[in-house]
Amino acid sequence: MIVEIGHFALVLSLAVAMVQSVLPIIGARKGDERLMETGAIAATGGFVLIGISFAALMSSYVTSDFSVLNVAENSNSLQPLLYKFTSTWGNHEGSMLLWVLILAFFGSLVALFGRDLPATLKANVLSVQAWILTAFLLFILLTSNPFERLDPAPMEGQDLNPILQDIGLAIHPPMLYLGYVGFSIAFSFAIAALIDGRIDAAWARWVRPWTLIAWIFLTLGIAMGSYWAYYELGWGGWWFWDPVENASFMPWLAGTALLHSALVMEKRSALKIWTILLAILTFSLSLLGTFLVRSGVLTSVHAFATDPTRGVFILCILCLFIGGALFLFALRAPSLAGGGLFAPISREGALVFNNLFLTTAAATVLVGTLYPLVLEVVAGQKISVGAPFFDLTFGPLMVPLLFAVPFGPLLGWKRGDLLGAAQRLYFAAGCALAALVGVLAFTGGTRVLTAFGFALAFWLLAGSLTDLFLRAAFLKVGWRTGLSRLLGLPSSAFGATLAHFGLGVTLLGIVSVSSFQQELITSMAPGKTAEIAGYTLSFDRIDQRPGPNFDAQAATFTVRQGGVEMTKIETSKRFFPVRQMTTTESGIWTHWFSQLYLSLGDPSPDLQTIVVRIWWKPFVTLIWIGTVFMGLGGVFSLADRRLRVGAPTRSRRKAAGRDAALGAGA
Amino acid sequence: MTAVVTLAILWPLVRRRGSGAGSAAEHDVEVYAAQLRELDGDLERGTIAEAEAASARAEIGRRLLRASERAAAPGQAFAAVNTPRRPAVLAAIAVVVVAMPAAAFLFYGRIGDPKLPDQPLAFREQPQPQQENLDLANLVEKAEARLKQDPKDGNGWDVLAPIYLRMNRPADAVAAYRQSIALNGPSATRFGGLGEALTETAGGEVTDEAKAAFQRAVGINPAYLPAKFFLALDASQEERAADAETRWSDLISQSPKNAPWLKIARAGLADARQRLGKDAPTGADAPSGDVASNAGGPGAGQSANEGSGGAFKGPDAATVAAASQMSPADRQAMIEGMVSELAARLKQNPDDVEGWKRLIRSYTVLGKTEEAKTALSQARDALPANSAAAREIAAFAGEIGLSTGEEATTQ
Repeated sequence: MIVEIGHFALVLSLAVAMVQSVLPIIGARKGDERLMETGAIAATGGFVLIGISFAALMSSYVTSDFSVLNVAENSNSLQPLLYKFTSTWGNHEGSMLLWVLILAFFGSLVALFGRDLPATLKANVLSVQAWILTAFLLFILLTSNPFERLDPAPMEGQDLNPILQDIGLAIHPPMLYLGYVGFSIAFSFAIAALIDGRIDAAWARWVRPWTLIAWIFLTLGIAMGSYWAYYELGWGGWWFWDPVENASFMPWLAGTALLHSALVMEKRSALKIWTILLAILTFSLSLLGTFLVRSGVLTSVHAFATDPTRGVFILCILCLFIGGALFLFALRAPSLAGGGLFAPISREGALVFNNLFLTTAAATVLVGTLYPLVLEVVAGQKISVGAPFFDLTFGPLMVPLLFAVPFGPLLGWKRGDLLGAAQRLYFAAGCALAALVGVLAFTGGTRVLTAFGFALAFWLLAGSLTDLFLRAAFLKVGWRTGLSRLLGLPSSAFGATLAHFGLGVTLLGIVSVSSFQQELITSMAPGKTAEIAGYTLSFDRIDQRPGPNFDAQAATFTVRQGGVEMTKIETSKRFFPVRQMTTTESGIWTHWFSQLYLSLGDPSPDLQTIVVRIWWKPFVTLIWIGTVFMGLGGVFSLADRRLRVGAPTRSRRKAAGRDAALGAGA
Repeated sequence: MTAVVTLAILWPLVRRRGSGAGSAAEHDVEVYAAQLRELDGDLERGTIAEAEAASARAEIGRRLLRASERAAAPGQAFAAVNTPRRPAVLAAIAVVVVAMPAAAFLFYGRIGDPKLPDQPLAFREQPQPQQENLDLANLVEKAEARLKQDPKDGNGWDVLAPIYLRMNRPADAVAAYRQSIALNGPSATRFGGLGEALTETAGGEVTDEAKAAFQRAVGINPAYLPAKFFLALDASQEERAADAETRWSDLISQSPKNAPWLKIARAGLADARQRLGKDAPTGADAPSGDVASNAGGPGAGQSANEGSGGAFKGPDAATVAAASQMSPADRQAMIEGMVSELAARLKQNPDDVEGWKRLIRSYTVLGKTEEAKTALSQARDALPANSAAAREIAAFAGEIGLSTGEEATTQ
């Protein structure tokens, strides 16, 4: 029964979403409050229904109910319990269900926390959300139904893809989806504004926190995915410019741009139309990412052609929403009131600069991702666009942007003083210079590019702290008062600093690993030793260890430095009989911020030796620690009380508003 | 569930309620006012310079004035708007009460499977009256443990191998068949099974290794049909159309009417003939095109046999998997068929001690204790009392924990 209840709940939620697509927006057009109010309830109800449905699927996975086709194909009764849970979204159908669950979740959040929104705006937003929801629910039910049954149930399931049998699957996809789908709110707000033909003052205040939430999750989701790939795939790389990664990176770039332009819009009422366009683009890129990953078009255009139903369906959704949104934008944008003016050198100008570079970067990644597809369709050639392309295009775009980051917060709104800002950055410049000289000296002047990379990273680190330092005015008012002023700063100031600081930390990690990493691939037998980066690794033994649904070959190494034992590292290969697949479990020893990374390759034909890949990765963890800083920055920005003020309780606010208005007039 | 959702959405539609929402312009006024207060806050904290604050205040003030003008303008306000419009609301009620649930039920009726109960593992593992062998995993585990202690037990491997194959553990099946052949000597079923297991590990492709196994199986027993099936399949896969045609038609003519592979065999034959430029066999026998895809059953849709190109389109990986596994029920029938074959042979040739042991063990592993006991007592009857053979059987029965068949004998 549970399975079928879940199935029915999903169908019912589609019906509810259809109602929600129509009634509130009609209500908004006609000004009928009762119709508008159905939106909030339908959104909440829809979320509950999809939640029931998702819980039903999950319970099928946990109880290994192989009468559900999806469960039989992607799970196995021998899996540990955690992976039975995570198998729920470790496959196409289940992950789409998670996608709509999160979409409905955001819709219900708008319904619950949107009390202070203008009623028409809220109704329109909810209707637009419901359009997206309807499209994807139809997609699920018609082409990838997770509740398809199998009778008689097979004895054993085909197991979850072994690479996914990891704690990473429990965290990465939900986070990433929270990010992807979170941008749908910004999108819905943008469309609602276009439908209304008017941008409410509350618009920007609302869009920014939602974008921020989505951005935080996306940032952490991408970072998590990157670390997962790093330790699971056994190749020691942390970013592969793989199309699937790019699919999540593009919305991140656009979302970061949106975050900054929404700031201008909120504070200065400028860049309104651009912000709306950016909101549309960001979610469009999220949809595109979903399409790329879910249609199978990436593996091969031919794989896409063999089973086109899903791909074509998502492509239609894509065209409908992106095309429709851009069309609406073209239609309405000229009639929207533009915002305030500002000088080119100003905070706004800096943010425009940021937007320009970020969107160009997103476009670059887009080209790099889609070009092979287009080429395959047009010329039948199969090429892959990888790191060399992105190093040449994406890299140079980032350098000026990163260089400009510390200037932004130091420039004043409306008209700023570039020279003044530059003067205030003398400390940061000093740090950068010191780093430059230090690295040059350390490498004997051979690594000029590396030195500049380190300089840029330190410039970012020191530059982002400069803003806080100056705002607290430590030099002017002394240590004690400065500290209290620092604590009195609005938390969004900390947010910006932390996020920019995180950027510097990540950059430091990237530069350090790509310049100073050491690699050793060798064939070893137990008892032998290898040397890397001043460490001596001795191969102690290799033994068989049975796991719940796999057999592992585990190798143990002892790491010594100068004869002193530092640690033991264990790395293994796991063989999963059901899928006939082998995975590597890399052995990682984290020493401060650096890591020693080991993974096993193939044994020699006589089974006497085995290939061992060893990397020394200096400061590699900084790459991910930096993203945690960025995420924290987002949280601080979000916690800024002033954002939530949006619209406090009505009566008090009105009175206060009048007073303030009088005050302003006086 | 439907009722709750319907009522919840209905609630705001039927509820009467005083107007609460202000106009959008009024809302703007409030937002700007809040912005002004924040500006004051910033100024107090000293995070914004006096001059900047003044200009910002002027700008917000301007916006505020504009918004309040709009709020005051009668045309803009939503005053008229809060009066309920009957027809629209009634239509909405109709949609929510009738159309929404109806759509849900209709759609679910098309795609749902309301009568099919859940079948979680715990439920499936419960022994069911008509199928005593469902606790297979458990039995296999026991058998594995036994074999780990005594890996020279050829009979154990012999019984376990086909079960592995059925449980979708082809690699284990390959190992088990090899052990069994090494310990028990070659037989058509063993080599056939080995070939099948090899084919499955190769994702449905009859590899050269598998082919050799099938050929040995046919060499031992020229009438062993499963091996012939795979040899025909191999011919199709390698696009030896003429060879495939003879092999498929031989197979079809020799197969019993209800053989599970017939559907695929006919599709293969039709394909081979098409390739040779002959007409496909007429009649209900072989609607060639779709049989190939139908034959795969549930698995056929998901397989993307990319390499296939122009090759034999019939049984691809999934189809072969489905065919070689058949359905669990079919495979079960096959195993039981093999066991009953053995029983029949023992009736004619009751002196075969090893055969009796195998039969008894098979019954035990299949969970058919009663049959095992009957077989035990039959063996006792067949073998001369107090002979070495009889003692061996008795010892064997004790070893696998089967009670000496006194009561079975009296039955």
